[in-house]
Amino acid sequence: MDVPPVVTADMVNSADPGVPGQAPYTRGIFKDGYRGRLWTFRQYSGFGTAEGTNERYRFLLEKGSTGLSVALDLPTQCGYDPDDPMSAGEVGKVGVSLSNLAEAEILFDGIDLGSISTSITINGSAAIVYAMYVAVADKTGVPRAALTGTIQNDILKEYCARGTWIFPVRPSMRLIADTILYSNEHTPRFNPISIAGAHVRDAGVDEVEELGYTLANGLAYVDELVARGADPNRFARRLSFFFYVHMNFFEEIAKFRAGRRLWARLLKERYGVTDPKALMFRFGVVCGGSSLTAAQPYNNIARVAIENMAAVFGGAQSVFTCAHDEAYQIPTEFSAETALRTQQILAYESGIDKTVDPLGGSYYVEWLTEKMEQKAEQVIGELEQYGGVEKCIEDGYLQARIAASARERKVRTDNGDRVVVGENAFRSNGDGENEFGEVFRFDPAASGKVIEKLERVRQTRDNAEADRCLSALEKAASGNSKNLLPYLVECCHAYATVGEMVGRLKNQWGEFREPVRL
Amino acid sequence: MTFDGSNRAVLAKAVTSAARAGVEQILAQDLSPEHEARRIGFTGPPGSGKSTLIASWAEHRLKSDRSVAVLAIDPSSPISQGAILGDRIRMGSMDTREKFFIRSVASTRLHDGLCHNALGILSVFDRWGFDDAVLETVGVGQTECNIRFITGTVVLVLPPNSGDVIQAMKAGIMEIADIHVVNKCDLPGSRTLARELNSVLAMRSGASTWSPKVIEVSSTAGSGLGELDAAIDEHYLWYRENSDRKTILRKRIEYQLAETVSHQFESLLRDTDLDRFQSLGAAYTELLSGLKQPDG
Amino acid sequence: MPLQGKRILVGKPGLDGHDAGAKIIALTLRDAGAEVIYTGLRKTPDYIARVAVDEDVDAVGLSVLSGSHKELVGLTREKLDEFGAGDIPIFLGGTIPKQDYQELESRGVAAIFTAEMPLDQVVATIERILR
Repeated sequence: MDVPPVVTADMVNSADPGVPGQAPYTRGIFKDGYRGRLWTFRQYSGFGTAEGTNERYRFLLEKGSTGLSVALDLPTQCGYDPDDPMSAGEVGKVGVSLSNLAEAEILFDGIDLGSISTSITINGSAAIVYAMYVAVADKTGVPRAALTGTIQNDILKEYCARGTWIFPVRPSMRLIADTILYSNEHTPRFNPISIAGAHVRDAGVDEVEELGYTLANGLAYVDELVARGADPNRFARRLSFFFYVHMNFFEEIAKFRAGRRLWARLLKERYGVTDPKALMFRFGVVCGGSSLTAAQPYNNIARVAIENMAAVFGGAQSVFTCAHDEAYQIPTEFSAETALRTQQILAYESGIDKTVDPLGGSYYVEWLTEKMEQKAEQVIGELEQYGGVEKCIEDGYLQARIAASARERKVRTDNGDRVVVGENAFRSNGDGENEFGEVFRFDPAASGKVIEKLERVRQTRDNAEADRCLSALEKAASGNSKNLLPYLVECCHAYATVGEMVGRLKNQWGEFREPVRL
Repeated sequence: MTFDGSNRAVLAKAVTSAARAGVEQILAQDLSPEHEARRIGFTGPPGSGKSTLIASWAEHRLKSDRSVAVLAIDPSSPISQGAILGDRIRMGSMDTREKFFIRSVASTRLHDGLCHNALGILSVFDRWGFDDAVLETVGVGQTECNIRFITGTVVLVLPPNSGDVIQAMKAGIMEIADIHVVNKCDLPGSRTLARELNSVLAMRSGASTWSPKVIEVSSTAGSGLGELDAAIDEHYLWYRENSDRKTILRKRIEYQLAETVSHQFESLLRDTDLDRFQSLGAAYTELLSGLKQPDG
Repeated sequence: MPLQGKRILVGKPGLDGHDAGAKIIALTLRDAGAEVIYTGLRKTPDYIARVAVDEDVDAVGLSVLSGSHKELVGLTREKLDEFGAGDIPIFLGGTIPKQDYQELESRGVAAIFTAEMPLDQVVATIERILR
């Protein structure tokens, strides 16, 4: 964003940004900021088999992680069983394979789901994985009401940037509303959606578009729920958001302050929301992503530390710091630990948590916050002008817009307008030949083990019962009157697989057809 | 050679050769082969869903054991001449079926919605024994009338809510289309459009004994495809009975010559250093004499 | 234009949904004069090879960010060979660890592009190989 060399008092419209903990929450949603409670350190991990991942979770909890973050492999995310031909080469690669309840039981073995919060990055098949989480809690005797955590469950941005869509837009929106309504009822402390700008940002759009697209998607979900007759004063309390933090330090801070203010205002203006908790814009962030480089990877530790500060000045509720080697490999234990230590140094050594919104009232930060709010609202208006988010996606308009931004960023990096230390500036001799220390080795047998376990489940489960549950699910999906979650939970209990459940839903709904438009 | 699904690579090379043909190769082409595929042209504005419609219709066709080849033309960038060829992808999972073949090409410099040597590519499809040959135009609008001369049946595809498009097309492509498809007819606006079309077509002066059809189709819901299929067959029968082979061939030759000359001329123009000439007249004479050499 | 008249397929094999890189490359190749067929997401190696053959492309570019590049490149190469298109070079982009380069090159990958590589260099490399 273009900014003036100096900002003075007269350039800021509302010199007083108000008080933390009061709507519209420019300065934060809690009156005591991080003094009451630090942000959650949430390290994303998961790979290969449930056994291996369970071991890593226990390791992270032991080291002081306060929440789990589950990464699932692509077959699970796209709704294919590990032995499906579409899964070839992908099982256990970018996360853990979780095809049925038996795997979930292994994954969370020895971990008390009632006392930790679990964030699961899952979208296309989110309703199913959430149902599995509920089922595993049932199995281990944890009351559903005690479950805390978040499922991403944000399909709209999948169509735009991350690509793990399964069904067409319409039934996907229905499934998301089903999940949110069911979760509000049965797992009231659980966040059934985390509306994410992170992935479009990482794909290449700037802070303004990231915020604009994300809030536009948020409003689309609110519209869907309101159309279902739900009360925004209630369900909006459990909507949460998810962003990337890249290196534009002050813009990032302003993005979050503006996001809080704009979201509260939009909910109030458009839906008459009055409940102070429902007006709260709560969000988690990732520091790193595509702002990290493969060249001179240790530079990334400094980047992540700066981004972590921006997230905390912005008032994030949870932060995930990327490991410095993530630009080119699955993090090793060493790099993952360094990333967690970065957060701890910031939280416990720097004193950043001592006062709420320490930058509040800075002419520059307040000016930037106002600009960010205006511009993001303008982006929302553009999408609405086109015919709304759903149409933008079905036509491929939004995707084409993101691709154009991505390319622009790349061109600006190539020509040096955007400086990336160690990559397009300040290179050292022999940068091409970096030695990367310890390298994580993927277990080549993981896929075979997973498939073997799946076959065992198919042999030992009550197949008639699984089939009965799946048929009931399909029947419920053929109409619009039923919430599908109870059916999915039942399918999970019967050890039906993700692929089987998705298959039944595809029978009724078909698949999304990507509008390839460049 | 006959297309049997296993010799796709050979066919693919033959098509490429036609698509890149120079003057001599073009002039040696047989424009009236022994077997001729039924040639069906699909045209219509961008976003009307031509590719998806072709895919759904072709699926119908394959079921009755016919083989179908598609020449799908996408626009070239006027600056780089490069192109993103996206029609094939819009045809979805259809596009690698055994008796189905698609070739995507860029329009390059042509502005009639067709591509260099489209006739030559279609005759490759003839030689390979395809039952149906589909030509999908760029879809820029009413100027794409050359499709009339190189295909037998012209299908104009319109999206709902394109009443203003009709007004713009009245004097162009609508005059030559044999079948008008109101596509995506599950969306609002299609009924009105169909009515409007019928009334515009009713006023079309009837030199021809073919009365143009209006068909509502939804490729996604799969409705109207049977009707479209029947209309295409019906038109083919009519066309076979009522058109004069000589006139058709003559039109093709005219089109091919005009296209070849203009293609040659453009590349001559591009490669000629115009600064050498004192006057426009001198440049003109030089360019014309260049045209006389078949290899430019 | 350096790639005038060249036909290049840009494909996303496997389940990886990160398509920003593939789209940037598709647009860049178009602006370098190439005719580009971009497959969209989630295509099997079999599909990609069939399209490459039907379209008689000069090169196939694959983008993989899920760590499954070795499997997916290998399968695509096999299919291309099977369909009689063993001469089509494969380019690869994505998150490809250095230690995999040698193996990939031995499986017939003509060039590997990283996210940091300037686009001019990508175009120049492809031009050199297709010359």
